[in-house]
Amino acid sequence: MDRIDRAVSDFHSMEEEARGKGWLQDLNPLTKLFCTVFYLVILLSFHKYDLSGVLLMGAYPVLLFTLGRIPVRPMWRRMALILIPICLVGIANPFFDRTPVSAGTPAITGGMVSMVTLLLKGLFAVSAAYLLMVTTTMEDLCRALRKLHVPAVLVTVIMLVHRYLIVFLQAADKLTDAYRLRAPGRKGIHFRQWGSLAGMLLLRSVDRADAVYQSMTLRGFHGEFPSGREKPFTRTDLAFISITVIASIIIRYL
Amino acid sequence: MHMADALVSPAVAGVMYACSAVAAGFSIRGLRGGDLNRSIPLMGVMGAFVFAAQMINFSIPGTGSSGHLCGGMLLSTLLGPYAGFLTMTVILLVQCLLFADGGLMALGCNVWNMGFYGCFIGGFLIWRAFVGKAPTRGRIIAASIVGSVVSLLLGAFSVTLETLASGITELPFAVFIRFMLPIHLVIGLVEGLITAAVLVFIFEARPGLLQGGGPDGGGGRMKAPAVLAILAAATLVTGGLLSHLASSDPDGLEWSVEKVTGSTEVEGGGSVGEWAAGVQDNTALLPDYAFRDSGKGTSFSGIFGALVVLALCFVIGLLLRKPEVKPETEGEGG
Repeated sequence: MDRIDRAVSDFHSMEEEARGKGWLQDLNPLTKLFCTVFYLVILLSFHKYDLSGVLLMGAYPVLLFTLGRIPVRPMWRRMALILIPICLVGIANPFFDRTPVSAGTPAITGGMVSMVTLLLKGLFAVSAAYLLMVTTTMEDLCRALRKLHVPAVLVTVIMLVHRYLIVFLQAADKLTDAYRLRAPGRKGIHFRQWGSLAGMLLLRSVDRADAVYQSMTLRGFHGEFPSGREKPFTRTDLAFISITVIASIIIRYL
Repeated sequence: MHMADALVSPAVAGVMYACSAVAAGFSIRGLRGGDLNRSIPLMGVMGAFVFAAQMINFSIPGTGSSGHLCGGMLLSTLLGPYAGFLTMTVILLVQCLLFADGGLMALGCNVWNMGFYGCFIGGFLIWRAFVGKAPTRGRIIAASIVGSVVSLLLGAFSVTLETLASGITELPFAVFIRFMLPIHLVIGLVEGLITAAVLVFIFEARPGLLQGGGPDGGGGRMKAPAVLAILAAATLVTGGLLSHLASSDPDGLEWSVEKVTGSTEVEGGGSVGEWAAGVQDNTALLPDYAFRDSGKGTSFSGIFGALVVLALCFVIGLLLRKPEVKPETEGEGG
């Protein structure tokens, strides 16, 4: 499976999961957004040597994955993408910070501890964002953003990009497949075709944008999509926020 | 160049969110002067196009590797810097949420590093300086290459500053910058060539689409001094605040706690605290292999305890979750 196919497949599986039934999916999107951001702020505020504190913060994704029956496997693929730059930055720490922090042999250095802490922070941060997106549809998230007074222009463009993303990914996939069939054994697009290949896709996009504009105007578009049915704020939301906030503060400061 | 959450501290993330929000607010205000309802579908569809086009691998002759086009620069030349920047912001948000390409907390940094420099510096200032109102094939190629290289280098420089200010890496500034800049110089050159190829194709097929003659016409209205003023202010804010944050002062959360309690750490005390400390002393595992009291905030016992808690969380989660209701198979009961 190539990069575009994988992106299409990931997109569909996340959408399917977010539209599924479950207590996490039923939570108010604002609750999930707030808890994710709060968790991330607390997680990133840990000192680079505070490995045990960061490890304890792993309770949030572990509990949500198990309680919410969220599949973990799709997340690991995403993880590889994000862990590579983190490793590149973190790998230097053991070389530059050789202060021993343990009495045993071989001595464990501050750099080793800070590198592991950094990797764990990356792992848990991606898990938290993944949990948000795998339990919340983009429409619900956009509604939450509007409630937070994020400008309508941005929210509408988010919805449009999300809606057309799959169309263009499939168009790009067809285009590259057709190219591969005509140029067997060639890795990537030859430089002589760089301009025409992406340029044709771009011209089609502009034409499509015009058609989209015409149809949106005919349907009475005035700068913002009408918001659909909202998920209510229930006692479960209150409990979820309280537990997340209190537990995070206890782990961070006590 | 997408930064992950783990590479930024909350304070740096907050500063960069603020800088990106100012640029977004400025862009929205600039867009309101034009036909916003017409710009929105174009921004949405072009955003999806850039997203898809960045997935296409363009092979680099003689290297065996591949690159992709510079989204910020391309969007800015087609939609104008305001709409281009907002579209780039949305692309980065969707990339982070759907594909874990960049972090949610690091979004402000990523928007600044890739969107601001790509759209306002590369796609507007440099494009204007090179192409002006009389585009030619040669000028477009030169503007695309210089614009992409400068945007990428500025972005890489910002990544270095943001990571160092967050106190994430032990790499000295000079080593980090020597590692980042040459790589991004090469990437910038490749991205510039790909972007140039696409823009030259557009110039020859439909020249009216390029900045100034685009559908929103917004590109030509922005005044260069306004961009320079934003850039100067942002440089001052970013440089000043980031260099301050890089010091040994407490981070935002610690600062807040210090204001309330007089110390950056909340002291445990009282009889309950002493009792808990006693329990910890008596039950500590691996006591001879504990970290020295170096204020590094961790210990083997602590790590082991945290791992036990995580395992417990997993077991509790398995025990507490509701039994899965299996859907009835078709044909049953019929």
